Amino acid sequence: MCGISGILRFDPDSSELRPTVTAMTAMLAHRGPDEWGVYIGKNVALGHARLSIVDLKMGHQPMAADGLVISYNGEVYNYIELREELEQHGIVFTTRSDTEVVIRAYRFWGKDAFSRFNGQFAIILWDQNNRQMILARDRYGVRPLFVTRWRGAWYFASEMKAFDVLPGFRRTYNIQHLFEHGLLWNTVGSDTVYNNIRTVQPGTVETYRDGGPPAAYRFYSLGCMPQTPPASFEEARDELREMLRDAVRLRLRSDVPVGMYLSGGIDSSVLALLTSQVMGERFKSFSVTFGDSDFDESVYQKEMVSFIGSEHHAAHISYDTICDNFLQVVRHAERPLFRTAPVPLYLLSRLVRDNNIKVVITGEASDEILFGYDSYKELKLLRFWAKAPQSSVRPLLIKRLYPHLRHYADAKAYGLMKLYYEDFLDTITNPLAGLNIRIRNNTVLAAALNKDHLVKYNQDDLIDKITASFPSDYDRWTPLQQNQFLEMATLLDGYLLSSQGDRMSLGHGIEGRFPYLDYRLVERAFYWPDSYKLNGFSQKHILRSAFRGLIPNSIIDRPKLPYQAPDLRAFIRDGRPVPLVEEYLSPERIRHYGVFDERFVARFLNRFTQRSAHQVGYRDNMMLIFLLSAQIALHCAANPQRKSLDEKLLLVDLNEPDARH
Amino acid sequence: MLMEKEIQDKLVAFICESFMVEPDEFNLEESLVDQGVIDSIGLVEISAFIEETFGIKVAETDMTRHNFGSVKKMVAFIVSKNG
Repeated sequence: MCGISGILRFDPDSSELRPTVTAMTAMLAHRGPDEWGVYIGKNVALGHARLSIVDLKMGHQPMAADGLVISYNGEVYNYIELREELEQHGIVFTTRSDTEVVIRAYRFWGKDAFSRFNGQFAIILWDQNNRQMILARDRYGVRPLFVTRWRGAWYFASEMKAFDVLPGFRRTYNIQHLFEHGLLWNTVGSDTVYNNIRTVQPGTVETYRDGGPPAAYRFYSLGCMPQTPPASFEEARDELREMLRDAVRLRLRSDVPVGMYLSGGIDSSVLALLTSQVMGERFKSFSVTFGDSDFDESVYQKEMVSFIGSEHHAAHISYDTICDNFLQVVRHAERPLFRTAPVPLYLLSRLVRDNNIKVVITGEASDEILFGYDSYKELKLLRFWAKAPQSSVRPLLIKRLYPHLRHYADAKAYGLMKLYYEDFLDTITNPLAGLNIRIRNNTVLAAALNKDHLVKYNQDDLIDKITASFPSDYDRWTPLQQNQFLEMATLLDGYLLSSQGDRMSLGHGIEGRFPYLDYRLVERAFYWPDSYKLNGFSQKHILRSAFRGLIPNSIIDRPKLPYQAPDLRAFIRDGRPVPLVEEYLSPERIRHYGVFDERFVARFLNRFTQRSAHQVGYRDNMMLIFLLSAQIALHCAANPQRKSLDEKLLLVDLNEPDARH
Repeated sequence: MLMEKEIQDKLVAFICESFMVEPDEFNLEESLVDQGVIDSIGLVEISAFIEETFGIKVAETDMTRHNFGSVKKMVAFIVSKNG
């Protein structure tokens, strides 16, 4: 895995290209600590910080061939098959790296090459002959790519902190985007929480020729590959086993050893089984354990470890660990968080690094593609109830929604829960139906914002903004398919794969690989009947069925415990905020940045002097983490940690003729 | 017997303190859930507050939008129970 950067400018003075692209690349060195390189052209530059995984000797970057220069972050797992196909067309290769396959494939197929790639990638490609810069991002947004236009030039980078080195540039919040990020846990479309920084959207190619807006081409959107339905559930179940196995097989292609994350849940356990079958040898597995038993899953982890016989390592997480690492985690995440869950993953990647592993298989996205989230259940319940709103029987299903949450199972509280959910019956037909509960709960964040910003929540505006990205088939999908689209466009891309994924693993130079995001599986599963995935309230039904008898029943049948870490209780001890909270949420800091309402923050913190941090709910937890991380992210943007690169690790120094500096 | 105004003031004060909103930030005629003031746990807290403060028992059958659908409706519900 790697960090990539690029510059495209239009003035004749190009003397700043080399120092600027080098400084940008230095800010990304944690993503690729093994070596680095630059390409300097007449008005263009590319930078690359490399984590060597495939073709360690020859795969250096930036790489030039066929009039193209590439700086590429990621993996195209089917590069061997693509290479064979290209060789049949007479194309000759000089390395065995996947990077060269990407270049030659683009030269041969043009932008249609990207839809042939099975992988996770962010690409900056300079087309020397046509004098244009091509940017591309994988289908689901596993690898990041940001763009800013500053003083007449374009700048591109894997992480926004690379822009902090540009003279005069400083990241500041766009408050409306910040609020939308709060509502959805992600910004919409190509927005980021910052002014003047965009993200290249997943599944998209952008072409930059001049100072004007780029030409964008979408090569993938969820559901764009309609499928012939399977003959039966049993057939689909067999397909799932085979497709997952093949997804794992491709993701084990690596010239360095591959390890895996084992959470103790069904998703990673299934992958552990398949990894052990495909690899045929013992591998290293990694997990987090918690001092707080409410979050700990080590019983299940141990069971799976003894079942597959992996060499297991665990990172133990206490309240102090959360506090001590939070600032660094936010620095890497570069945006406000809503939970502390990224912290253990940041420490987990350090543990992996300490054990000399660079690549891990991990189980994200099973909940999206196989309907594992509560939002699918809630949506199903509400739609069923909405057909007969007066029914006294239909809402009884509420009792079965969340048996692990005490206040839901309590018979006395049933009436209250019914009342709560009843309020969502009226909005069940709006296009964001599955997100209504999350948005409604998160609206409270508006109260925390400085009133001077005049941020208002207008549901219709938000709906318009989100629906602008809907594919034309959206209206023909079932409500649960629509919900999958929304989950993947919001939580998966902007939170799970970034704040909790890419930024935490690459914080320690570890590459995560995601078999559940193999597009062949995602598309196939998308068109299976809903009931295969959510059967009654049985979540990920087909996955349980497909692997029953192959992994222990105790893992298959265990109650789902969403991956979480201690939030408020790590930061408020015995009614007192820890020093980090006192510092960043102090009246002075709140005033200094002007993002939040001083009085609100003081009242919020004061609440916990009287009540135990164990008695707080979702919203208090989210509010504290949001306030704290939003303040810290701004602090990090204002105080960039300048880094320099080791000249001994400079392995590529390419120059366009007449552009040497 | 408590006057409606007094009941409403107590409820509003509790809501403002517990859910950190200003009185002018929510509408007394609309659902607190709809307005993003409370979530499901908020409803549990409000009903517990009503039981404790006004000495009434809230039965499962009382939990309807008619009784809890807004602050005004809650006030009317408390008055009817006290009556």
